[in-house]
Amino acid sequence: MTLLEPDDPATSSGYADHPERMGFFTDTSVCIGCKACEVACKEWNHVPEDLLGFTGMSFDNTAGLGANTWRHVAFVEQPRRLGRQESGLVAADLPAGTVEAARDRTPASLGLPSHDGATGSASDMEFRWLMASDVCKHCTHAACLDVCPTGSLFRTEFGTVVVQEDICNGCGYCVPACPYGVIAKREDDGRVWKCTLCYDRLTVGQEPACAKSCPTDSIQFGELGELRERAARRVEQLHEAGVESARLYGHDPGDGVGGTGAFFLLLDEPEVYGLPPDPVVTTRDLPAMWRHVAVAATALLTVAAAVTWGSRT
Amino acid sequence: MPTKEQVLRLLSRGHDYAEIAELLGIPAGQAYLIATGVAADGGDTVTRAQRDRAGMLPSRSQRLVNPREVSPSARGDVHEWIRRRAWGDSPMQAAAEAGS
Amino acid sequence: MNPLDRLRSWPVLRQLADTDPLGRGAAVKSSGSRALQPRTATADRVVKSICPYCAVGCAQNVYVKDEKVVQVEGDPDSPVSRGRLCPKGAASLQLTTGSGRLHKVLYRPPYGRDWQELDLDRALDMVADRIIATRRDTWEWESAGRRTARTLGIAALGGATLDNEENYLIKKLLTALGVVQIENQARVCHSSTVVALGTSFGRGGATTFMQDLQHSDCIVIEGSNFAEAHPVGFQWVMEAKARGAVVIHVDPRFTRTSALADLHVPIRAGTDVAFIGGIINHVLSNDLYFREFVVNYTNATTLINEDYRDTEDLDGLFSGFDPGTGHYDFDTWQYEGMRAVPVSGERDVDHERRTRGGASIRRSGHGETHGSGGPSLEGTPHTDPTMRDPRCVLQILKRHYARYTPEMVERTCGIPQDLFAQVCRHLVENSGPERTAEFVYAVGWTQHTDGSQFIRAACVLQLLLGNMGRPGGGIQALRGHANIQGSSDIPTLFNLLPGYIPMPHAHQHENIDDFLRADAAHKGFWADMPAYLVSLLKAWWGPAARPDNEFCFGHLPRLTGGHSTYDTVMEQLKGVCKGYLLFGENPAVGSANAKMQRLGMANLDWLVVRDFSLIESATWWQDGPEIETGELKTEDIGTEVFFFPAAAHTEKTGSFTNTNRMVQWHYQAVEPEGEARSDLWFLYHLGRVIRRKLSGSQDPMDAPILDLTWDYPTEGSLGEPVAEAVLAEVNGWDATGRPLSAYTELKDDGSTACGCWIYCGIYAGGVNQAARRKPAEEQNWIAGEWAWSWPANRRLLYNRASADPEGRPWSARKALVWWDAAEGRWTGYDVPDFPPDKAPGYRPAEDATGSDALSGTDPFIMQADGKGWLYAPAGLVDGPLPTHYEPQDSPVANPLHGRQRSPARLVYAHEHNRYHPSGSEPGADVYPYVVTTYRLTEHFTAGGMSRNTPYLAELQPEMFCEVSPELAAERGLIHGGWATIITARNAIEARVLVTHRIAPLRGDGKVVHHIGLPFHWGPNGHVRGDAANELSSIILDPNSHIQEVKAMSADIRPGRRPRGPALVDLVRAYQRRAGITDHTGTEK
Repeated sequence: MTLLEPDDPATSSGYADHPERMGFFTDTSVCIGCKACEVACKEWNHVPEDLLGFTGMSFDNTAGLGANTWRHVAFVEQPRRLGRQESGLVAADLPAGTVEAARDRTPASLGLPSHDGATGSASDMEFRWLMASDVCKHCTHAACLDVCPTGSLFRTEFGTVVVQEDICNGCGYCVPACPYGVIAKREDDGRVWKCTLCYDRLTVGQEPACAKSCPTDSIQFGELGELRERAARRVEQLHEAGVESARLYGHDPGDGVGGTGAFFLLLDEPEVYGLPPDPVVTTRDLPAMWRHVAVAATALLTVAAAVTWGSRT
Repeated sequence: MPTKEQVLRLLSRGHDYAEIAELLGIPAGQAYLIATGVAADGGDTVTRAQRDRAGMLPSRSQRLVNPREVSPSARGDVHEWIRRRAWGDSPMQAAAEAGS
Repeated sequence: MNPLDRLRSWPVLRQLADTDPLGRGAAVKSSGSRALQPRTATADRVVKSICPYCAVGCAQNVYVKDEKVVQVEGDPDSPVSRGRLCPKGAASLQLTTGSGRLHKVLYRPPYGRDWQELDLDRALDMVADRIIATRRDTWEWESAGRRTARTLGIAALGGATLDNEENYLIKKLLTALGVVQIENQARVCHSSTVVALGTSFGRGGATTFMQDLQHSDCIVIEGSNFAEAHPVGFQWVMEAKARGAVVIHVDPRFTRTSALADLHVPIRAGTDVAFIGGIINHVLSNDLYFREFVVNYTNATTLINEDYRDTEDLDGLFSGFDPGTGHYDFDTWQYEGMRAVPVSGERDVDHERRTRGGASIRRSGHGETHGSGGPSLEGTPHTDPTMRDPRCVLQILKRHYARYTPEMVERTCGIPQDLFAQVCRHLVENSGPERTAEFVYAVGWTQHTDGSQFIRAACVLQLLLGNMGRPGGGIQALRGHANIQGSSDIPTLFNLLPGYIPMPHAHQHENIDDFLRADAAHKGFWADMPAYLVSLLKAWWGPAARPDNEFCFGHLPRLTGGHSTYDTVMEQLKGVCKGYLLFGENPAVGSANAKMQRLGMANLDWLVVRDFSLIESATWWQDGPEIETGELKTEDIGTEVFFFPAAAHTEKTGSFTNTNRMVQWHYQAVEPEGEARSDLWFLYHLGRVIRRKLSGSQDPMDAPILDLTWDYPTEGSLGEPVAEAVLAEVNGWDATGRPLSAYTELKDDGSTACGCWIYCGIYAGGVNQAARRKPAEEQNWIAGEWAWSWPANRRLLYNRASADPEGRPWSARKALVWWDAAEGRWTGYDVPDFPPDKAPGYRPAEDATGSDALSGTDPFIMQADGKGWLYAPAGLVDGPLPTHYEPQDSPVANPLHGRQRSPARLVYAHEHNRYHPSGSEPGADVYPYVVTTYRLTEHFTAGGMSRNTPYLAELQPEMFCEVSPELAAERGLIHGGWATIITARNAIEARVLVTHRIAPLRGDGKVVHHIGLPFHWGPNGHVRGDAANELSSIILDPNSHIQEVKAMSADIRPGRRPRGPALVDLVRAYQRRAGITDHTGTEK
């Protein structure tokens, strides 16, 4: 059940005529962590508030994507240098005992640099603060779409993946299907919700609310092909500027989900941002599995038939 | 929805977006997005390559999307009121007389 | 739908019959999806507006359907914002339409336990009665034998979130009622800016505009957290960065701004003068200044009075200090051979007696009158063009900063020498004819006891480097509220009249001629002050203002010293000020020493609060912190409280002036609901009702209010005043009723009226220039046809300095304006900030006056000598040059001088305002850490517009403190846990965020730890917490009356704070341990 033309999901979803595929390129290297995207999205889509409370996860009190958060800004404080940036910070000068005791108390790593416990004079610290706005990937091979039994989840003319709330029956099959953990159910409502790439706005030529609002144009909206070209040039530019860690994520049509409609420029490994390093559309093996089922069923029937016929003769 | 080529073809024939919208039965802004790949409400952030594209409007593309805009900038009733204030101020009139 | 169509639309059939066999797209598109339309396109109309949050002034599109606002998003045409909005601007829909807002008037009777509803008209009537009664009871005709004609019994606070037209009516009405205690957020935020920039350059506002940042080669962001406090403006830093500019962020914390900077320099809070002084020393010692610029465009060559003594000579004092009064006499600071300047300055022999040595003027912050027009001078300066004379400004500067070596910077600021060297290198490399550097600052600089001097230091440096008046150069002052610039220009401030004309004093100015002679310069544009003042008086008192009664100059109440908001709090505590009106400001959270703010209000007879919801300043009597501690009891509080729900920016028409002096009009999209009304409505009808009640009165005290012109047209079912008419009055007209086009048309004979001379021209031709919205794509980067800026729509000030003395650009790369000899005019990309036809070669005659007295090479046209002031002989009461003093409460001894604190700072000794021992004073170690307060992107100032807006509140839901792992280890603080922070004023609790982003700083063999505190929380709202301002004291910069909240000492301990009386006990226990008395920290 994989799509026939990897990069043109709209055509393989039955649209004879349709526009160029549209998507997001989120360049996290210019993100200022302001969360305008989170708010603009909620305002446009009337998404309810989450109010999780103080999480202690740097400046991230939204925690992750979900039914009530369709754009989520991650904050990662790391003991690493970002290109040629000078943080001017100094490493913590902690007594050994304190560090050990602290480890016992704090089960989760919160990004503090690990120490070997030795004290010493303070030294210049490598430090960087990464910020990134995450969103539904609008995969080329979208597992949520594959498993949806009601046709609620569907591929639009723009190549995006949208939940049709007038159809969704809340079965929840799509929730575990997503390799990124994006789509989720609203408990008080019963249906699943996620980013629509502002489908309604696109129908009149308006860009998605988050892209429009983003103060530094970290979130860029446009034709996917053009965005991929722009992204490739940006990565080159960053490498030349000494930011070796810049790389793209989701841009490659050869990856496990066929490339994504919303792809990213990251400054570290995907895991650092809470993203799966090698996402695979969870329905990838379904055709093979069904074939096996078919073979097994055929074999079983053949054996059963043979036994039945055989016992008759 | 139409393809990019379909909209560009109509543009090359000299139609504007309002006409294209009529012909294709779609919103004018949608035609703009499809033709150019640029949103109609995108702001002054187009790249040089984008600016030279067929179908790009140099400015005010948001009007393809918005309903009517209400923003009056010169009110006649205010002008009247100013004149009443000035003419009713006899010391001011006297000073102007003396000065001229 | 007919049965056949219904069948055809069945997805299963579509799937089988059509091109989408797997049912993934076309076949399953539902009817809902097919009918999908965004509410932007289906709205009835779109109305143009401006964001009400910070001072970037992002343009907004407001969509209305069925007379309700259904969407608010960015307007892509704006050259400033390009359609973008930060999270706050993006939350405008919820802010204005959400359930956080109230729509009914509430009333609390004296000693009442709870609110009751009250009819709007009745409430307005009651407030009018209170004002009339209190005014009568507290009326003062004279003080110490001089006529004051005022009431100190009433005060007002608020205006930075209001429209210019609303501020205009507040100032006009209350002034006519004899109220002088009129203040707003500008006092506590950027008042230092007006003093410092005004004194150095001639105008007290940002010298450039945000879009011009893209042209800078080096941007130093210091005392500002640009990306967090002005996110949409920050896009222009990113543009510069994309073009290869170096971005440097100097801040005690590594913030979201630092994350995008090339270099972050951690600095000990409160030591910026030492840092900038170090750079100045580096530039001077190594002859790295832009010599031709400095010689021609600054006062570097001017000789100073031979009796001048520097802080280097007197261990931290300038000459002329009187420890008895705590004031400086400025005579020895003057230019050689020149007359004393207006602050102390009249030739009248009566002067000393009348002004008691000028104390009244000094106390009133006269420096702020240089918002538009620097201090005036009598005479001509003596100069040494070779700059070798030891008494020339350049040499004085060298000696003054000689000890600000890299070692001293390291000791004082905690900045390693190699880091310091990098900053110096970047700045020097990026200044000069071919390159420019820009400084961006905000309240990290203004909010200190010597905040004006912090900014002055950058002014000195930028003049030395030749960056003033040039593209990509200058000084960007980032103000923080939608209309805080406007509320300074059309000021709801006690010491100013519109256009930075000083409010007259009881002592110094007897009549209008004395006033004008004392304050008007004889050279420069300020020489036309008579025309500005008379035109203002004509606007306010119309036909009653005549030549034979000094145009009603006597109707203005007089000042007798400082009447700032903090002085008002003291007057409230003393029972002198009995009535208070709050207009969209929340002092119980936003002003220093929150407890004193509340105790002051508890002493009032009546309080009026206008806001969106019940802010802390409205409810303290019921559930404030003192109720919890038992210091106050609700049933013992006699304050009568009125709460009036206010209209949102989408519900009224008016203008906001952004941080770059650009005035933008916003239109009413819908009418306010329920009893919510605009402040324009409230002020206008309040004035109408008061005048009705007083009509026929023969009492001379009522003449100003009855003579006042107060007849604006109204419209609509609610009787909303027409804002454009108020704007027209601000603009002014002549006797024919023609709106004026420029302030040069103003006359001093009473034939013109003008409510604010620097805004003259905003309604030129009867067209609202502030409403212009020509898209960015249709203009150059200056975008002069979008809205309107003062002065005269110039966007980049002092731009004459972008050309050399001959009028040629210093380089092609940095061309902005230049002299066109063929045309005989200045021309270029921006409106020249210079007389258009004054040739570079023009030299004034000996007896020239006014602007004719300035030459063709005097770019700072609002300065009396036309020069940028490296050394300020006037305008600042605490010194002509910035020097480093420690903050009032500091754990560090001043490494530079024997004088620990700024000698001229304003001290307010009070049992609830105790200061800490500092430096090497015994007990300083009881408060060993440095607290610095700041903003977060997600919230807005005192929280009234964000804590009740769920989409914002959930992003930063709890008050927290940021501490380094070292400090956490030292004090046993646990990440995610709680901490209590204590000062001599109060103690608060906060969640703990342990982070490396707050570096411990090492200097002088000592480690200094910072505690970072956001200041947005208070006990009310959707999300709650303790207010950082519980901890701060009232200790003020003497020039601007601004409080010091950016650096103070404190202790921190793990765990939640005590509740009830135990909280007070904790604070007192600390005071005892530190040996604090009522004298601690009050030395002069």
